[in-house]
Amino acid sequence: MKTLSTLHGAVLASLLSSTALAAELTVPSGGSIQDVVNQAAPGDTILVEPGIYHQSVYVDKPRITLRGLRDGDNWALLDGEMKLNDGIIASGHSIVIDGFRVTGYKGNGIMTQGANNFEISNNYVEGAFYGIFPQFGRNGLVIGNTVTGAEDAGIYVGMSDNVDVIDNVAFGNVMGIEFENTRNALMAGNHVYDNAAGITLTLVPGLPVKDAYSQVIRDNRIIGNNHVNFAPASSIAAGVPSGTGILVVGPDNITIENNEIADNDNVGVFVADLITFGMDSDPKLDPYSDGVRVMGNTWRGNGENMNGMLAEMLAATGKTGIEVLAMGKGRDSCVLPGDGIDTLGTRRWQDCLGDNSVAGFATARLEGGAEEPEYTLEQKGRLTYLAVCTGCHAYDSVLHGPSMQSIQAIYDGDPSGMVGYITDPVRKREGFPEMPPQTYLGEETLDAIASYILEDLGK
Amino acid sequence: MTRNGKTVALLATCAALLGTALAAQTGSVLSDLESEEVRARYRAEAAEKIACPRIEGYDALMAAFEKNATSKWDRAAMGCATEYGARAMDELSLPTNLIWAVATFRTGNIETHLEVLGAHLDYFEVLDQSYSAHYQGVELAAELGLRWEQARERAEGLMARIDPLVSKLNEARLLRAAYLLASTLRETQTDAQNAAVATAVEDLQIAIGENPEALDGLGPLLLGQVLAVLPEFLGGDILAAIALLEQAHALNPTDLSVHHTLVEAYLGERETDKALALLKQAVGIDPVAENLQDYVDEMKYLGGLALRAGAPELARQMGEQRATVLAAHQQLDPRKEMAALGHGGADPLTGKKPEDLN
Repeated sequence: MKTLSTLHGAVLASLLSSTALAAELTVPSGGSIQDVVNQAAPGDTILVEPGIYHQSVYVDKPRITLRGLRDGDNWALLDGEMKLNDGIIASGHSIVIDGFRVTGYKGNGIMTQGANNFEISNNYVEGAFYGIFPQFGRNGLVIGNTVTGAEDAGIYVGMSDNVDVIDNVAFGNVMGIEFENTRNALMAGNHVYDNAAGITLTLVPGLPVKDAYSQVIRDNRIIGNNHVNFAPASSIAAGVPSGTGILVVGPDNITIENNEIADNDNVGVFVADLITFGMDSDPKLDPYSDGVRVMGNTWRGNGENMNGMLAEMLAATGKTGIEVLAMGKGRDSCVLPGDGIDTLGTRRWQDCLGDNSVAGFATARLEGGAEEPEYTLEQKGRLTYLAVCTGCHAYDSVLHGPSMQSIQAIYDGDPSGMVGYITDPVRKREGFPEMPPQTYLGEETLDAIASYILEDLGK
Repeated sequence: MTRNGKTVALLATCAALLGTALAAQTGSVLSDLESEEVRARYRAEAAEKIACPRIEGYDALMAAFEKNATSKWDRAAMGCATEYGARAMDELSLPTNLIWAVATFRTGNIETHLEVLGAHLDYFEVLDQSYSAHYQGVELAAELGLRWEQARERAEGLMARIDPLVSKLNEARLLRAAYLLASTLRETQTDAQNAAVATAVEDLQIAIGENPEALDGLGPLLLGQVLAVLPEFLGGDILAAIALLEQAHALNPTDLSVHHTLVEAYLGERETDKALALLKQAVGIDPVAENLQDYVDEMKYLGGLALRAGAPELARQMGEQRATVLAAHQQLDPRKEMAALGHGGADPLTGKKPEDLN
């Protein structure tokens, strides 16, 4: 009985903390969202009135709902004016980011970093390098967003587990939606059009997460992804071939089912190994795309207007109109023979069976959610460094700001000096943009970042 | 040419299959930095940075070449060494006409030309490894681009003198094939890469037909690498590739770059037992038999392959041997991959670096 009463107490406490004591705070039009985030307690909802906000917002508290209110065409608009790097960054678990229009940021539109049980919904994100970018998260939902103009991926799920990406629209990006080094994920009901590549499923070298598997891509519309690839030439996304419906490079156990795949100029589905793209530098990755199942999709007009690198590569074969192109040594992949599609490079593929179907697969998220560990200051320093600082600073060479090695030399043994500069930066060199103040990150996080940079980074 | 330079064929073929894209629109941090104005500024700075001290006279140039031609941990030193070597060859004023070449070439001069060309192939490989797996800043991109162009220009000059000998000298043909593959790995348009791979394959087939043992089996190794990477519908043939790589291994059993490629080919064919047997041989190879930078690079790579083959103990041994050599020779480059634009670096939750993770 004691156990039962303890349980009752825990449930009550949980209810109280999550609902009864949760407050609803409002940011007046054009006010400081960060100020209200700073005042909020875990479990609070922050309503942001329609208006224009030239701000970056950082949320590192758990169970915060950040909701943009909308009045017709008047959104809660975050506008970085092409000066700020990040729109909204969150590392607090159970974050909800809903209903914002985000534009004019040079790095991330909306990013979660290390946040479990996240939800990113009903936002409209334009431009940025990455549009919506959950990274290092377990159990998340990305739903009902529209993303355009990203120089990398519009919706980019990186190094995450158990994520659903549902009913979004992605157009005019280099890659519409990407799963990168991600395990157990569902992409369903999305409309992906006019990107250079519609959907990319990748395993990228040199990252802490060394595998990618169990992804279901079903019931999406993947139409006319023929946009010129406008990724900066020095970025990894620059190698993505335009005119590709779905690109699979490296992950295992992938099901592509019941999608409408049409009018992608080069190919409907392109399955390759990491070696094909010269991405085999990390020996701890299995470079082969194994277990790719392509079944029950609707195909129309793919590979009918081949151009660029894929056209040059396939010219010697004289083949066009290819629905599934495979290059590499993957095993246990299949197409459904009844689909009657044209394939190339699938000599070792098999026939899919009916019981391969995942048509009824509803969610990759965890029942009951993921655990929500409290991050140490050390972890917070690393997470924020990766999310924020690397947008403008590389380790050993100049990016938008000086190299981290030179910063380490300047502030060696002087973390407070570094924090002082981050808080109130001044232009030091001609020809470089002035660093925006990073005060929104808060004193504790800034201390943690300085400590990480000076004591751990590259050591 | 040191042994690791031979792996360029694999990489060059990959690069030829899928090149890079068009210029960027403006917007992000990275695309801002790719404006013509910014690139020109960094290029000018890079030119100043990589300029080598002036040295005159054949003997002094060759001494400077030999001092750093194999310093694969230091691209700046190696860049100057290859420049000095190429300038020394200029001073030899060798003929470009075939008849004149055969009549007047002294064996030593030919060998020296091939040696300097081989050093350029190693230098291309070092440069290639200096590019980030994810994103490099504009400063590094400008430097590497300029280094690549300069190296290619120098190597073209060497090739112009070696070309007349190709029909007479199998080694020259092999090095031309290796040059075509290495020099088009970066900073090259897709059509030029495709043409280079096609010509290299022809050269390799002729060279192997004449003498597969030349240059310690370089021909079978390079052709094996190319056939392993090409897709089946473009002439790729993994079984033929494995046969060539096994031939290369038999000719040069202590070459870790052969182990690297052949183990990977076995794993691609899921022949794990053969891969493991070869990995066990590799761990026993004496580091002094290799360029030390090649040794630590290959131990890192082979250790990863051992993990993939389900042999963590073997991977641990390789890691230990690598760490020992790195500790004893601190000039070597440990090839750390650092974060950029949200990618790479240490795991933010565990603090572990990718190379520490098993």
